[in-house]
Amino acid sequence: MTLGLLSALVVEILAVVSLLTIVADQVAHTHVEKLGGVNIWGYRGPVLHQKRSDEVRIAVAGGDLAFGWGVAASEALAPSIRELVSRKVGRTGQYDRLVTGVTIAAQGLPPSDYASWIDRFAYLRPDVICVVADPVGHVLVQSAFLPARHSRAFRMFGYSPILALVLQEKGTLVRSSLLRVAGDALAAADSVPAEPDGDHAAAIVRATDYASSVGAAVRAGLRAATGGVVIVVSPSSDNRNLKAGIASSFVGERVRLVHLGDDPRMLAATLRLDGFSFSAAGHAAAAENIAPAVLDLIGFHEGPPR
Amino acid sequence: MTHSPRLVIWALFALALGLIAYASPLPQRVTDRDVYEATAAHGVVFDCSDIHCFRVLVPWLLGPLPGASIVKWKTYAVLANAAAGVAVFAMCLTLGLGSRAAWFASIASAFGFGSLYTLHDVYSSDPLMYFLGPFLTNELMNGRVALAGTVGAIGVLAKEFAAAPLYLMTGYLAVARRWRESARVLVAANAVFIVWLLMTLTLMLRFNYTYAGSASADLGGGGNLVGWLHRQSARGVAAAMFNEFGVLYILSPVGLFLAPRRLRLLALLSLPIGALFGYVQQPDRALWNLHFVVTPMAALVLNRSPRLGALTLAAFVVGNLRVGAQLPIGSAGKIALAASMVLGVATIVTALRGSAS
Repeated sequence: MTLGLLSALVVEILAVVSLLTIVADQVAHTHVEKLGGVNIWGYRGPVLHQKRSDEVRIAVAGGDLAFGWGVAASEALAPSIRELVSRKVGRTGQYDRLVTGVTIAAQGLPPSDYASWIDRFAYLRPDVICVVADPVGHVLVQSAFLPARHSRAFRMFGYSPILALVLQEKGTLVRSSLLRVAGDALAAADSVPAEPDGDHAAAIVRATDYASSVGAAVRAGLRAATGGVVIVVSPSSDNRNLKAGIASSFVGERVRLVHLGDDPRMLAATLRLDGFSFSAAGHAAAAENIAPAVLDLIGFHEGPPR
Repeated sequence: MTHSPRLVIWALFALALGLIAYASPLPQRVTDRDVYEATAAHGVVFDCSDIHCFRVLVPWLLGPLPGASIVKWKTYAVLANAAAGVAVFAMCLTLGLGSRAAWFASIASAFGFGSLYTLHDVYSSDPLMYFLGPFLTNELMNGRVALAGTVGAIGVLAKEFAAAPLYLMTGYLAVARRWRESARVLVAANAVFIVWLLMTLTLMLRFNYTYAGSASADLGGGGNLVGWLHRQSARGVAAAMFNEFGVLYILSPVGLFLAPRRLRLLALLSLPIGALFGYVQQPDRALWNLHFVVTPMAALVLNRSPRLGALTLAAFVVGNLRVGAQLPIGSAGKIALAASMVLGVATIVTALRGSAS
């Protein structure tokens, strides 16, 4: 066998292995995207179809609270809002619109990144974006895979790999060091070196620049969404001044403000899973507070269609 | 064989197949027509979850052509199946079977169940695969690896089976200890496979295509085979499988012993490919992709007793007009199928007696 043939075979084997790794990653996504994971483009739930002309699309952006750790993709805030909005304007109602919801939040995302994150997913063409800001003082979850923000593939192509995580977790579950090593190797091969102090600085949501970060997210939301933006203030007790500041600065024709703390239920520990993240019931209760603002922004009013 | 006799054979086959296609009724059930027509009209169908959306080449080629959709697709099926017959003819000559055996094989391929069924249900990439199987195998046996690789890389855009003949020949050359040639063909086969992977991933990532709606991708769950078996009665499965090759089931195993070593090797090495495609696809249709190794073996038996062989083949073709092309010829089709079996047995007995004497 000549050197040329051998070289060609080696190159082909590398190419096939790389492509099959992507295939395996996609298969892994199909197993986890409906549960606690994200899809290949880094948002929760299955990849959305092309937006239809009769479709109302609601996006929920933000960090840990919006992401909905611990509940299935279909139990998070976005689908809960979708359900309530659909009851009014969906196929069974007189408006006959297809309503879809999508969670474009990310675990561990600091408020300063909300705006860029909304820009990233603007191609989903949401009608309304709900910006659910994590409260000041919240310690951000350090997540490497939900989505894989430190992945080269994610940074270059927007593709959020999850095979490494699945292999690592499967390896731990079945006590297979081979799977764990494979997962670690994949993660290492794809990861971008952490910035010197970026991650640590963003580990806690700070009051500094909080309002301006939310403001930037609102402006990004207004650029991306045709209907408008709902600012959702999390139900922590220290948000009174913040709420007043945001209300005076941003609320207008296309911006609504919902303070979840106005609903006493939202402060109940029974609606939380780990003391912070909402349970499925918590998301449903939050959605009851947010849905009216969404309906308002898409022009729905009780009574016959205008 | 020079090119002009091939052209004559192709024209004869095309004429006969064209008449059959004209007479064949349209399927009275849901077919893959909508998917292929959507691909022809739009190029890509966003968010498609049908496996046929991935088979883009034929609709891309036929879409821009003028004329009614059904006419274009029937014409394509006719021309491709006629070409398949010619390709089998050429392959038989390469294998040293002689021209009469080559005729038998090419007629059995062009007018077999799989071919005639695609004249009835024309919205399919299968006719092109029926041609590419023998064509690529023949080109590779003649050492034209670059040509076969290029054609395979284009053909794989129509259906994944286009890579199979290249892997088949890789194995064939390896068993024959022709290592360097085997490596060359393997490089070509891998290149074709990479083209298919790239196309598939591009459609999935860029246009949100999925295999979610297809059992073929459920490799751990029985592929298409298990679902097909569940949907059919035992009698239905038996009938479908019998119809696929009919008398070839009894002729080909006998032909295996009469075949030259090269054909025997090809036949044995095609078994795992047949098993794979029978598993992931609907087996009663998938296995016809390998017609080009089955019909030459059957032809060797028919060739031993030419008159009986010709009668057997004629009955086989008439039977396929009913079960393949779905022509409304009533019980004549069933009688022909039964006759082909009886004649087939007689041909085998005669052929074996001739061998013994």
